[in-house]
Amino acid sequence: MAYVATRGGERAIEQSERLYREDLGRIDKTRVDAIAKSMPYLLDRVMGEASLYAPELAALALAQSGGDLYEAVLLLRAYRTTQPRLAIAEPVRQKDLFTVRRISAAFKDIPGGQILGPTLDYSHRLLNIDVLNGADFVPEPVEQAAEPAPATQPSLADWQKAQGLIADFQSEPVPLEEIPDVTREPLLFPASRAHKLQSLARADTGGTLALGYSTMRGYGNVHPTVNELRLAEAPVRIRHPRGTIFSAGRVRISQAEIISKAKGLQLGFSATFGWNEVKVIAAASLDLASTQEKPHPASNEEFVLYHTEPVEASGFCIHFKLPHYVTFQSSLDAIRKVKTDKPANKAAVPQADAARQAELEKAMS
Amino acid sequence: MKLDQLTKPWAAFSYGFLDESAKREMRRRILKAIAIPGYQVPYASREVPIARGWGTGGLQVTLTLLKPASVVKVIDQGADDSVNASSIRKFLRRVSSAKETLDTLKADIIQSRHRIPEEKLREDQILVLQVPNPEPLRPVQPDMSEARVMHGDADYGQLWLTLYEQLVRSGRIMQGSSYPSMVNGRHVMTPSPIPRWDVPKMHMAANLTILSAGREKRIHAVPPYTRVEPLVFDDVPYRVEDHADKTCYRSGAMGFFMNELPQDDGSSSFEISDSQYGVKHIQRREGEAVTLGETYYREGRLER
Amino acid sequence: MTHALLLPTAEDTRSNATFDALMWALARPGVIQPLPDACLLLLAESLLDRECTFFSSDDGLGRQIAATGAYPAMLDEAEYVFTSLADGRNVAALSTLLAGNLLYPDASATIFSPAMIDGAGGTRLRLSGPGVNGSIDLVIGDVDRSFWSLRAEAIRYPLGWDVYLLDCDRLVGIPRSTFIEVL
Repeated sequence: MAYVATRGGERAIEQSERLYREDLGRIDKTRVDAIAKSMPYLLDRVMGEASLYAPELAALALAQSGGDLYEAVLLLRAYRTTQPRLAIAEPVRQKDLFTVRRISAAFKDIPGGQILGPTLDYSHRLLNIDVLNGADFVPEPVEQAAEPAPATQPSLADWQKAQGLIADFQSEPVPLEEIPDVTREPLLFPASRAHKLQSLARADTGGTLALGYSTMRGYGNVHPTVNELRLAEAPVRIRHPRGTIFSAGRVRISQAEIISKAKGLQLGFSATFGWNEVKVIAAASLDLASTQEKPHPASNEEFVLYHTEPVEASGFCIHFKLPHYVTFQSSLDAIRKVKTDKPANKAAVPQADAARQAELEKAMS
Repeated sequence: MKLDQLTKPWAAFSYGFLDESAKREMRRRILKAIAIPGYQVPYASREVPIARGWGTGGLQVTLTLLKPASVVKVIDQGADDSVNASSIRKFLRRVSSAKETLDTLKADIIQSRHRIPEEKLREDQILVLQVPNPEPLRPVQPDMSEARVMHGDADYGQLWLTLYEQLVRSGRIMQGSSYPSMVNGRHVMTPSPIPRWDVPKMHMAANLTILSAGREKRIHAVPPYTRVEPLVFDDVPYRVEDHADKTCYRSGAMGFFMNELPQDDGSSSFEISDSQYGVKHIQRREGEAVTLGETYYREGRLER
Repeated sequence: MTHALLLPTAEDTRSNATFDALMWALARPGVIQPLPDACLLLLAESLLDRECTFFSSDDGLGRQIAATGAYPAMLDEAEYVFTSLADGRNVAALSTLLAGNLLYPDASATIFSPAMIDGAGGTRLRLSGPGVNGSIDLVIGDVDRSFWSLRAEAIRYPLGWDVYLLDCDRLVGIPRSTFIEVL
């Protein structure tokens, strides 16, 4: 009897990968550029979850994965691992953000004004079927405002703090190099404020929404209101080794403050790369909910941060496709032994009933 | 200082894929894990080009250890030709130029999911085990912070209690794989989802074992010649899977951990789980010159 | 990614070889491991960067270590301590070293010190515990005898700290899990 050469596995995985890639076809720069141009919000979502701001790489990741978001995020995260850290950017304050959209649900009007900016919030969600029949959709031109909105906007929370409505925590200045970085240190609990906000910033949009939505529906005792929602471009300013600070460019960011009226006024906060409103509203609600005393299990900090990590959650989910026959064999052996030993066990332990046995076997499977 | 002093010349990828700072972190954590056998050291756990849950923890350890002269073996469920083992082996070769082997005796580093080879590992060998869940207390305490307090206090009462309840209910301990084990008399660890058959191989083993959970970001280790004792009651002996009298239908090897293969007629046949050890049996039968190493079990019984 | 195999730079080779020695030294307490070079700085280069703190009793070495990006710290806050154990006064100061806490026993110090290993004269030690097959005897010179009693006092396993001794290009590790009998 001959044995099967162990190279069989390698051939199989190579061919299955080819099948997938053949379906996607040739990937060229034109395709990558088209993705980048036509799907900025998708790029934003992927860059946020990848915690890597690189629109061109994000478009490439989407092209390579055929639009599978978890694959695209993993591609970017794995690339990120290989990149050295050259510098740490200067902190960005809200008032320095080049703001394109900033709204508050807490007040009718706010200092600086409600700036709607680009949004589909009030659009009618109708498919433009005509496009499929050859009639292009040409967006109507935007009419210039009489006065352009200012490039930057004050922080609403600053006004509330000045009014004594919300607590003004004095923040200690932290040297840049001492800012904790959750991608280079383990996440431990209770999590530092920095680790928590960083984890939420790169959390899975869908997972964050699911848990955030559960707190909004009432699993938890916060009653969220959007204090401020902002879409902006943040300047990335870096200190040159010679000491001068220079701009290395801008990144699109979104941020949300959620305010609770349950016990005085308390703020929850979230910010992320890219324009992704659902995520920051949900994440800021979770931030707020998780800081309450005895939070609901679904908004407990450890529960939230572990289960909204997109690469870990998706990876573990699909890992169940891997063979588990050794562990299965091991459990099978224990279950069979119980069956063969059963008469003896019954005599020894009269209270061991059939229901419990079934439960146990189910648990072992 | 100039900007270019902070980095080195551009290269598409670093040797061993991980960049130097990631490797240095792995090194620091591995040393702590060795210094405190069985204690779970938290680490940052970088993303690598395979999905979480597919061996990213083991991979980061192996990538840290590899040199071009290293000889590496990768197994999954005991088999070298499993698709995921093949994929990991291919990646390791690409980023480290290390040599590959299927033969346990020829390997410097063995990365494995769910098995320890049947041939005895030596003092110069490193076993890297992939770990899905590093926390033996998870069934009694899913909150990791609480579980950490219990480890700190060596408070394993609840774990003992569940084992006792299983005994009372079923007449035996129902734990299949991942049997919780006491390391160096202080920390209870999971030996990873290896079968009970493999746990005694760790006790006072000559080799170094590093267990790494990438998704859960924890690493623990068992240095050579370290006590690893499955949690058992004095009067109820530890029982390995009942494979002592099973014979591999392909290689004829007997008394090793087997894969059960259901047959059309309702019966089962068995095939040795350590695939390359089985292959070596076949090669010897066919007259090839192969070396079969000393094994932990002989005729189905543990050698001590 | 390209399909060509990646090869290490000279720096990669050196730091990998150094880590090999560090790892096996701790995994096999008392067994001498060869280093690629006779140099304390080598050890720092393979382990330290801006995520670590260190203390060096030698200012010159301290400056070199700081070039890795690691932050100088006081002795009682340093994760990596480079010192000489030859002087009893230096040894007494080590009673304040980080020894971790029950939740995180790994939040503890590691000492690196020159020593004479199995040379002419010194303290005869018998090591046992994890990594040691039975027991192993070792003669350590240039380490003040008081160090061994201080170590025994400081270690409340799993709390404690780990030690590396360096004799030219020969390295010995003594983790906190090792039991030492002074003969």
